Amino acid sequence: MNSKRFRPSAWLKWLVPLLLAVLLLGLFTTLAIIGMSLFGIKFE
Amino acid sequence: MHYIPILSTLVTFAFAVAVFRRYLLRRGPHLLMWTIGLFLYGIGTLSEVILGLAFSSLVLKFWYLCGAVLTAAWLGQGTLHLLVRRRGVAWTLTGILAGISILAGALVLTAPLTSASTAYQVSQPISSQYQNILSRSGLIIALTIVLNIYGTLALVGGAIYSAYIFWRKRVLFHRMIGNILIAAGALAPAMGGSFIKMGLPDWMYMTELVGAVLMYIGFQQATTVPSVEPAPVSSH
Repeated sequence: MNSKRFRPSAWLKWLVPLLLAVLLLGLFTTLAIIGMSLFGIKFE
Repeated sequence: MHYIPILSTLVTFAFAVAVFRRYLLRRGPHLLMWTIGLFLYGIGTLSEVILGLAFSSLVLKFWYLCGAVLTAAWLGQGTLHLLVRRRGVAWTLTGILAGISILAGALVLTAPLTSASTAYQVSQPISSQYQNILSRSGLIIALTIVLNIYGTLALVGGAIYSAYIFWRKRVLFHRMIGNILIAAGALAPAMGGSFIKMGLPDWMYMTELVGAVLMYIGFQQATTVPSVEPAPVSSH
């Protein structure tokens, strides 16, 4: 299993958490937009 | 713009075949659910190709049913099978989803069309016209919304969660990258649906293509075991 471990470089240490945070934000935004249409809220 | 759904269809069906071939080798139920989801995705984009040539009420209904109602839920169901360890839970939810899918299919295929279908324009994206043509009941709209929330949360949330676990444990770099790409790819068409609601229907074709390509690359990345350690290693 040790060969499957990795040590992230300095730039990966901030890039990966940033990417995950952006994806999480995108997920919540999308869910909010879909959810609001359930209550009849439109953006047009 | 009609060449984009053609590309999306080719990529999606190639992706579906790749996942199904892996299912034949590994027999994981998540792979079967993803195959179903990708097949539905492909029917949705293929319907866009056909509707770009001529109008057909049946194709319009298949486009709405497969592309807008069911795809996200079945893809998300695959991720649920992968992450939920209690098999009974995942299979129970699959049974419920199958029942709801049949109900949604019956409702959409029997939904009436309005007189606006005579004014259909092949040069315009179907996403900008279907709301005036397809008469959707409140139940159809509610099912569409609930299934999309369920599928997006399971697929995107599951991929983000998996990527985070690999990152925190510092293991399986290729799977972490694969899951990040899958999450980004799955978000793209989900946001495409949101663009329709925001009055930007043209963006949907591109988000479908980007989504299919990113998820395919992510799947390949996550399932291909590298022969050499791929992760960049810090110099200090």
